[in-house]
Amino acid sequence: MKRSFTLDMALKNLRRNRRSLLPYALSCIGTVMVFFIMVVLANTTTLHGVYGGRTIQRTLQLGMWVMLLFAVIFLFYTHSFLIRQRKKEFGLFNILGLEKSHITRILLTESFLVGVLTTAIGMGLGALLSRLLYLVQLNMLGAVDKPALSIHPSTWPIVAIAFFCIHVLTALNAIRQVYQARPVQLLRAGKMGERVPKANWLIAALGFALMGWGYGISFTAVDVMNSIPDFLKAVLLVIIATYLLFTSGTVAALSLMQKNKNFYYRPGRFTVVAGMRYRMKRHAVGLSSICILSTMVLVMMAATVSLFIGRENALKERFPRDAVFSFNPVNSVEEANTIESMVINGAKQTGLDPARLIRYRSVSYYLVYDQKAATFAPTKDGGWSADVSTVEMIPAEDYALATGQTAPLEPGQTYAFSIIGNTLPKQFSVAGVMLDTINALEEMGDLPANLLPVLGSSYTLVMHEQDIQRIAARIGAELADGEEDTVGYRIPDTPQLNILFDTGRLAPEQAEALINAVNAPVINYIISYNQGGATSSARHIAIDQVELRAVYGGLLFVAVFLGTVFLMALVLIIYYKQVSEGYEDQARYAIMQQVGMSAQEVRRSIRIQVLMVFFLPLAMAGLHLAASFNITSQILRMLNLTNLSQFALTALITYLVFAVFYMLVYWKTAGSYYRIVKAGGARERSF
Amino acid sequence: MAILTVNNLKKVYTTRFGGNRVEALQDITFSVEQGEFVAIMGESGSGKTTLLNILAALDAPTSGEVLLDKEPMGNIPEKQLAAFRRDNLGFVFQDFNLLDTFSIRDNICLPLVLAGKMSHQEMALRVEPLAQKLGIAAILDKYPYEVSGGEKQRSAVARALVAGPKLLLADEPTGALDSKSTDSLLRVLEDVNRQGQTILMVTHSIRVASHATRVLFIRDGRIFHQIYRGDKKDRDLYQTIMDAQGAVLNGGAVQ
Repeated sequence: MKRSFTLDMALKNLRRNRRSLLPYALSCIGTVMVFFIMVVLANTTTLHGVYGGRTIQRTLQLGMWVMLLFAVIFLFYTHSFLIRQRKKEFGLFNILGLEKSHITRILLTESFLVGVLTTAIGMGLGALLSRLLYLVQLNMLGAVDKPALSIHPSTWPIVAIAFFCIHVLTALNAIRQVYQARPVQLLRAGKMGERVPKANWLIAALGFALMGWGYGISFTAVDVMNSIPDFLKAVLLVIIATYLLFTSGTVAALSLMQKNKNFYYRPGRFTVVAGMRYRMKRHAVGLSSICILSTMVLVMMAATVSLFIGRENALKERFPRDAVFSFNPVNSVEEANTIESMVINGAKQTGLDPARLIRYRSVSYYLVYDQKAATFAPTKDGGWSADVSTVEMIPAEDYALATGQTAPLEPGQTYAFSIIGNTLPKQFSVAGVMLDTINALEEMGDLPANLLPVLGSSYTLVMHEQDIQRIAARIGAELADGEEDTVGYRIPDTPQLNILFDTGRLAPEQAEALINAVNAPVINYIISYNQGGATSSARHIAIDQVELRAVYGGLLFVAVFLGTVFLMALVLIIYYKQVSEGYEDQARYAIMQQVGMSAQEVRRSIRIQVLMVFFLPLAMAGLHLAASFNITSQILRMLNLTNLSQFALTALITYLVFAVFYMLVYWKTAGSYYRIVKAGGARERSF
Repeated sequence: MAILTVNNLKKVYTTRFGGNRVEALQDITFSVEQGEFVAIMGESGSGKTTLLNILAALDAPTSGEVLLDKEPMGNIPEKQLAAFRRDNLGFVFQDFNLLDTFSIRDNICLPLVLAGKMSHQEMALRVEPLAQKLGIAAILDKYPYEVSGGEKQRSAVARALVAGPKLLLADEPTGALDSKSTDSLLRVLEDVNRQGQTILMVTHSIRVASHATRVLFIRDGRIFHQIYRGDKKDRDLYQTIMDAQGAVLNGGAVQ
């Protein structure tokens, strides 16, 4: 009986409050959807096979937490807005004889209904939208045979539990307010004078400090290996700093202005400065949310668009020749000669004439670089760890032969080329073998950048063959005792032969044919002299082009997708702000006219305030974007994007496009603001 | 010398689709002399708020004219109306209408700042003595939510007077006050009136009206009676108003 009464009341309340409830429900659904899609992308097995997929997912997993933090703040904020409007209703219930425990039960029931409904709808839409967009994108890339996006089963409970907790928290917050207030206070909640926002200098200073810290991390990021964890640290710091600065920093700045009387007591500023102080306090959370969302959209879009545009450049860096073959193990010059002629034959069989052919031997290891001690040490871990570097060693004579540069290296000397990572010092050791850097190479010449899958940093060292053998022996000895790593990906630590040549433009199918024609005979030949079997890596630019397009297209997809959803949230918040601003300003508008401001002056004063309120986040987002430039470009370097001026230009254009969009949303929603103010003004004018 | 003259004022409201015509003011004629304290009494719906709106130039009459200091208000262009109000009229409202974003001091300064002719030092020279006179000097740096209703209303009076208006318009200024604050506010109004400030006040409280020098009765959009204080004491005036009011309620004419 009692329960059905509670349910009945809850349903009636929801129906009665649907006008203010609808935007809240929409923002719940939106937030669930965004978070759901984040979780899907972070955990799906579909991305495992993609080049760099795990890196993306690692980032997304951390991004997931950022998103969750954002969801908590955002929903708390929209919910408190809702509760503020409904306080009068609760007061009335209380006076009409409902105990606070009844109201609590009704509130919990309402929260439960809204929570379950919005979370279910949000997850459903999220699942639908992620799959749909994934399909659309695959179709656009012509890759119809790829599997559909799989949603990891853990996604559903993760999202459901997260939002269950959020709704419980928001409901408890509302209940706390109902319990603390007397019914009369609840009734008059809307009319009570607001306390003047005190400038909290400590928090403002803390905000500045945190922002400085976050910016500092970004500005000083040189170590690519740590750039992703650093990036997330900086993001968290800047998010917190943004909230602190919007809540306290702005109020502090305004109270400084008020203290400067010559500045403050002027017609154009008097009402603006005093009004802003309240406005900023009220809207700080909403505005910092707008600022953070905008920054996220901007950084994401700028980075992925740059990557997508720059993909041809990245390709050229990885393919100094159209076709790149590697065979392993190849020990003697005779074996190398035989394989080279087999490769040429294979190419000729497919009707191709290999041009500009080069060949060189190399050995690669996964080693851990200790920057302080300047040592590379062997590791039993596989290659999928951020602190592991890939080190490729090339004998000096092969390097000379391949590049045409004479390289008279003595034992103990090296040319060091750091593809991704720190510049190596003058002197360092590899597995205990000391090396002097004769020359730190800027360019690899005709040799391709390290072809192995890389998460951490990557180096190529040219050195005397004796050193390579010594290093191989030491690493072999060190790794021999103790069990092998079974999880990680291991590369063969035997010498491999790399053969590169140009083929001219090929279709991906032709490239496949070439690879098949070359691979089969060479592998058979290697097996004939090596019981351990053979490995080969055969790549052609035509195939990678398609793959890279898919990968960077995929990144762009993730960004455009999240960007779209963020923008939707943004529009919703801005609309919210406009409407609440409108209601707040109604009375003020009327009073100011009565004390002698013309309608025009009032409108101008309020317009300046509203403009400042809305464009502060946009300006701040621009600042954040600029500050993130260095660290973002470090991350992009890992993805083979080195053209910084192109990235800067893309970021600038992204910002401008975004600003135009933002202004459009602003002008569209400003209409509803003026309608509200005018309607109120007309009523309040007569006294 | 008449500072305010109202001639044959008429205000007709028509509902949106021109259906009903409501005559809020039928034919109002009266004048207020320099230094007078005039109370306009009437029930709700009698048209006194409409009258005050027109006097404040917030609303335009259907016909008739209002002269402030011999200048017809209807001739003032829309653009200069705000400045006109600021320079010539002071307002006191029932619910104070202080801006909650300003301290009491800044609320009082508001008309001066808007006029934009004074430095903040000059403003302080005006605000301080005025605040002393109204007994709010101690609360100047507080915010409206921190002070009592009586203090709020005295602050509102200070704001209305700070620019030195020709006419102070008050709309039920004691409507939201307890009796003690009401008394103290009325004393304040009497004081400023004695110092030469012309006041026009709308009220339905006999006690409040009995502090005025003249009381006009308005009903159904017409002024149908007026009482001069002459040398009556407040209490005598109160009785006279009571009698007049009673007669009005009985529907009889008043001699």
